Amino acid sequence: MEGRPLPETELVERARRGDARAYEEIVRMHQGIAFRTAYLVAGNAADAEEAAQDAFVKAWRALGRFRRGAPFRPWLLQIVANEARNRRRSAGRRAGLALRVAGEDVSGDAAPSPEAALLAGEDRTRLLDAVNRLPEDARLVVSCRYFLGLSEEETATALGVRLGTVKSRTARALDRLREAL
Amino acid sequence: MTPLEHALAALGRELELPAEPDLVRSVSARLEPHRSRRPFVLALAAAVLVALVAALAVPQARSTILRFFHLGGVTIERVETLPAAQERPLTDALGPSISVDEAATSANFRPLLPPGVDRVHVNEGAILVLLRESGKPVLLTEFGGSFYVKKVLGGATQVEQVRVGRDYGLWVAGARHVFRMPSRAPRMAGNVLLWTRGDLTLRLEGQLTKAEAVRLALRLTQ
Repeated sequence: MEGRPLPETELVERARRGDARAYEEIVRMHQGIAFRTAYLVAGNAADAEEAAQDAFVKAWRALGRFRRGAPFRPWLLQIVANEARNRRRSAGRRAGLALRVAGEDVSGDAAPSPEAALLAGEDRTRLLDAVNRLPEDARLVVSCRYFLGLSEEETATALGVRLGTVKSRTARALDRLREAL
Repeated sequence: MTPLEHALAALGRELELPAEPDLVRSVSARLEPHRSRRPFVLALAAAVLVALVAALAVPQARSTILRFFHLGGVTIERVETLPAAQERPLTDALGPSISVDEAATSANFRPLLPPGVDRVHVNEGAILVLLRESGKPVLLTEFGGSFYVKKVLGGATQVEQVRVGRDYGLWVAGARHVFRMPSRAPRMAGNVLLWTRGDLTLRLEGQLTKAEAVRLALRLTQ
């Protein structure tokens, strides 16, 4: 694409009309969140990559059904999550992904960030353990909301559940986490 | 946000995730041109359905050639022995009803419905609505291209090709079969009309005759 980047709505409109270059831009914009979503659902990197790739291809084919003006990301993430769920199911995996924290220590001379201070040492480990012990539905909602930074509406669309379900699952998951800490 | 929610968001920023692959090239290589494929798709669907229905009707082929096939987002599998499944009502796990507009937003497609229906249910991306036809309850389920459900048929369940207007479909009737949606325990299902329209897969389930089911299907509009 030349000149100023086009807004997403324009890219989607061009892609709807068959502009593959515009769609490549859309893939570039969303591939990170698509892969991370697939990884949290599918449970491993290889399946996540395949799921994200297939989801982008399916979304391209289904662009004719995409409602003009609707946000693209949740629509895409719903396809991604379905693809990832299907792969996990066909692989017979039931256990959720065991998440790990990158690096062990916050080190160096600089003062710790507020996040690091908030999650120092054992607290961080305990919180992560508690998330990993959540039931699958609750863990996915927590992952979408707090690890991927999706809104409640985006989480509902991505997981294919109602907004109220996201709210209730989130509330129950937070209660469980509080009890576990 | 509460302190716990802040802590979760902070934890998310520190999670160990695999390196994100660059998908642009691999996706780009798989993008087919958009064009009107309806005549070709219809002809292909008709040919495939004829072959599949014929093969499924032959016991020898049933056990050796065709174990499963797909129609839209539905996988149909022939087995010698049905897996365990519960008898549950059509209304099982429908959840509260919402407006059609809300459902279309949530599921990202506009459902086909009989005139006058303004409340439906959404479950895991599928839109469901309980209808009445010929005085009998009928469950209409619709889902988009990436959805996936499974039907498992024993030897006594018949599969037959049908036309629903310009669309092609299957009529599954006779002995009850097993129906499975994502994240749900399998349940037994009765007569079912399955058909596709574009990227939509539609499913009507109830104790209807084939003619009644097709008549109802033809009344569905967007």
